[in-house]
Amino acid sequence: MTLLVLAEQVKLFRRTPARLGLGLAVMLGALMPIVLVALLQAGTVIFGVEAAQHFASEPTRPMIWALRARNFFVMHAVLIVLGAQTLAGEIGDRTLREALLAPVPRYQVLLAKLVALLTWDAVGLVLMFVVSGVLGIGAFGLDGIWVSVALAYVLTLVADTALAGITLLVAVATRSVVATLGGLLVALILDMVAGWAMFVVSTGAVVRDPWVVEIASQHPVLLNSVLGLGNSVLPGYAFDTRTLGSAGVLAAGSLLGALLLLRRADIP
Amino acid sequence: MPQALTVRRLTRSYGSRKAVDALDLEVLEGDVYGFLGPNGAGKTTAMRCILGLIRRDEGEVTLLGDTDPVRQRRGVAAIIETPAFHDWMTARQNLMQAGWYGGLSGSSLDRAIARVLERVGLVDRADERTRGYSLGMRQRLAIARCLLGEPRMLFLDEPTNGLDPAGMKDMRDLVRSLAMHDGITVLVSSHLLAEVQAICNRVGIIDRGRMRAEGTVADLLKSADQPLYRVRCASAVALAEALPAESFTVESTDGDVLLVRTALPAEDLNRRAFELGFALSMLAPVERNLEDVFLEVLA
Repeated sequence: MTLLVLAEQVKLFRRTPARLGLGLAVMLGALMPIVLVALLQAGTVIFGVEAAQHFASEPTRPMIWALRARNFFVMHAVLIVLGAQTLAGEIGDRTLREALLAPVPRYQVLLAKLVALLTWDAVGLVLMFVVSGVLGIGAFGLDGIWVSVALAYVLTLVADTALAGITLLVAVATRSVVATLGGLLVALILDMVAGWAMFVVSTGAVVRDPWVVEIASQHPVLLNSVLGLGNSVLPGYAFDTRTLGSAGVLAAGSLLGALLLLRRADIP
Repeated sequence: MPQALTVRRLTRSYGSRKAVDALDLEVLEGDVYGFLGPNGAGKTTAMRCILGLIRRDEGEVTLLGDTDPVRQRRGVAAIIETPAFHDWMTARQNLMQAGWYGGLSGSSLDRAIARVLERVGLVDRADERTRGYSLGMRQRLAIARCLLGEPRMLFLDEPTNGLDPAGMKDMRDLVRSLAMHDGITVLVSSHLLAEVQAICNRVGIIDRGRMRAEGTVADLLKSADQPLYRVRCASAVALAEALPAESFTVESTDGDVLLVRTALPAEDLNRRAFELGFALSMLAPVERNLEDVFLEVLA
């Protein structure tokens, strides 16, 4: 199993999107402190408030910015592309067949691919944490909410596990990189629509049944809320164990689904 | 000889069509087994089922004495259809991947890679990306990948498909040397019968998913009929009439060539023609080949 993980890690880090993604992580990590300093020095006014008041100048602030920018879209897209390539892509170009001719059970191959994806994700997070941290300290000194921010980075990795799991599930179900990317896009849009619907229901305006309103207000098992898990430990948010639970349910459920599908799959 | 591979009643359907239908197959250790059949006979499907790439509906597979579907692939290597590589990596990096999957690592993997590259003659090109490889090179690299784990049995699915004559000869020589020098049991599927006849000692002929004939090449080539001779003679028609019908059957006459069937040895045919006043310019046995057997079995 260790060698399978090694093989998948080496292969993943040789892929172009993986390298671009890590470059992007460094760029985001460096960009955010620079932007923040620039905004503060220029005395920019945002929504009628001076930037200096808007963003307290503390070294962990750029790291929070970088994490937010990362979670917004691009890095998740790279993670999805890598997940699609490593499973659907390898079914399509027949290299998974060559791998499965080895005397290894299929579940181990799937787990090795997941571990490789998460390794890449963790390396990206660490790079961003270090780059934005060093620049933040350089600009603003050493004070700050370091524990919360570090925790936010760790929780982001947890949330990304759910995203990676869902990507692998869609990849083995569709067996096509394009269909995986499209499927994930549709899933994220549907998820967003479901989120709005739940928000509307949770106001009690549509359905008055208190039981339904209560469930809707908790946003159970929604990918978009799971992806924001890292934010929930930052100031201004309330940490919610239910979102953490949702991440766990999504990760475990999608992986189980992917395992069952892969076990029975005919590999061309 | 103990069995390297035993397949019993292997069945796989796609919808209502049975691609492999209660197939029985037996390969002995040391065999070079030719797995024959027309296109679409179920050869590749059967090999995929045996190697666990696709589900089987029924049947048992014992491979190198093991029935566990994962463990039995230890000691087995295969090339199924066109070999696939991660084309954005070099040949060496591809072999590393395969080695890790096969449980090799560190310096023993490095040594194994050097050994197999040497064996297939790709040492000079090992650090190029496989994207630029020709079909023949890909086939050789695939063999190298198979040999990494020093397998006891090799499955080759149409290994010479798409190769030029030189590439086909290379592949044939390689398979032969793997069987002879390395003692690897080989199962090779093909519809190129001359090729199979040249390298295999046993064959199985399948059609529509079922085994139609199985045995050693020598046994299959033996015919129930009397031997046939091709005879050339200036006055062929007269000879055909003069030969006594009780011991010689003239099958056909074509210009100055006769096809004569007889239980007597060739010398007797020659002497008899001479006694009758005919001089033969050629007398040659017509040997059955695998193609004849193949067409008879499928008829």
